[in-house]
Amino acid sequence: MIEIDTVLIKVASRCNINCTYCYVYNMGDTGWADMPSHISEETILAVARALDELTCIQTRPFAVVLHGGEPLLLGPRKLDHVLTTLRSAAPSQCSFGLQTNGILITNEILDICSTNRTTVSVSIDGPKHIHDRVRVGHDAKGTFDKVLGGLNRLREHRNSAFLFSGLLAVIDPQSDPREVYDFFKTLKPPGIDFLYRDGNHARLPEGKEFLRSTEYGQWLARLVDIYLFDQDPLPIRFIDDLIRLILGGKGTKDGAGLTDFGILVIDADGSITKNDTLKSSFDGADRFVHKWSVHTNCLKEILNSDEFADSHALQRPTSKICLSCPELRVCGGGMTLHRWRDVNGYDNTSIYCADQLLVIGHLRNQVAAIQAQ
Amino acid sequence: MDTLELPEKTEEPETPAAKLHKIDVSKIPSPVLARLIEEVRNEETSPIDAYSRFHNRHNRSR
Repeated sequence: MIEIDTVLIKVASRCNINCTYCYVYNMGDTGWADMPSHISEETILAVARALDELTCIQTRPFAVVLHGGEPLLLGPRKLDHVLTTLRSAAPSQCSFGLQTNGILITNEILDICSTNRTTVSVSIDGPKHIHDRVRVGHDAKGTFDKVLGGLNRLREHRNSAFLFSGLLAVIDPQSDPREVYDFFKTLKPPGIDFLYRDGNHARLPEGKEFLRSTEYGQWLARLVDIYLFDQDPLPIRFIDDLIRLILGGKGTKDGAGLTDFGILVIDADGSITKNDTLKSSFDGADRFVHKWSVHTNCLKEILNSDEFADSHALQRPTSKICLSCPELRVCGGGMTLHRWRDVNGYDNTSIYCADQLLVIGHLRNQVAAIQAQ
Repeated sequence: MDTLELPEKTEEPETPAAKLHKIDVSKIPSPVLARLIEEVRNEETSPIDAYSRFHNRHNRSR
């Protein structure tokens, strides 16, 4: 049976903003439109039963993440109900967290998260002029000021040391990594993670001119130089993972290294889907042929099925180029969604292959030079 | 009587973790690298291997 690291629950299928690059709404998938706006009472109870079952059928603990859409669209009362119900169904050592755009963070929301031991991670792309280019509202206006308001409430909460789990930023390769890094340091988060923009071989992301161009890799290499020599560094998850892997250790997140990641995604109507980031490949790419749901299926049946195993195996690179690459153990072939090509599926290198090789090579040189000192 | 000649015993190749144990992190000028060397050294004995992997669209830094 496949073991689960993360249960990702889409408690709200809509979002109060409309980021230009969003994989849920703006890359061709329309699954959100068939979903209820918010998770229903019946589905909350069915998810709780699923968590209880997972606790019985696997010994390792797992993380529960509330996701969306924007999970805080639930409002404080329903959020409290969801967290209280799911918390009581999962073992105490399971971590609970949510990923939000930050706009709807209030002290009441933070008190609810604190009571239910649920951490908060906020998506923000950098200082105002960088963030507002892409993270816009449905009125196309930038959201920076509202996000910063919510973020400041999170930072100032009496339990922020527990609540604030980090920041999540999408790379703008046209930005200055020094300016972005220095800005994030002023927010004093416990850590930050940088993501590549979503895209695939059929639809290259903005800022990437052609398949072997290295705009993102060069941006990351410049960030590496700033980061490695900072005497008071802000932990950067992606770079930390690559260094750990170069040193012979393990990565912590899907998208680097070869350790399998076990994810179970539950949509707002209770249906079970594949890794939701696959939505960016084509409409319905994250849907199983079996119409599994927490309302009608037990997890044991799903986690033991061939179709779930096939979906789980998608994260492992299959391209001959990847399998013979000397950096395979560190790179891991990147994110599955970045390997998609309309004619042959995921049996390709990542569109970020050249970027990954550039930044890994740069890191190897820098790590060796520092150790030689 | 002929004796069987055994090949000279060769040493096992050093594991990455074993190499790291030889490094004096106090002399590493990069705080990031010093921290990560310590973390990889401790991976072998860490009980938290259990659920160390997580979703790309979430950040739980700790």
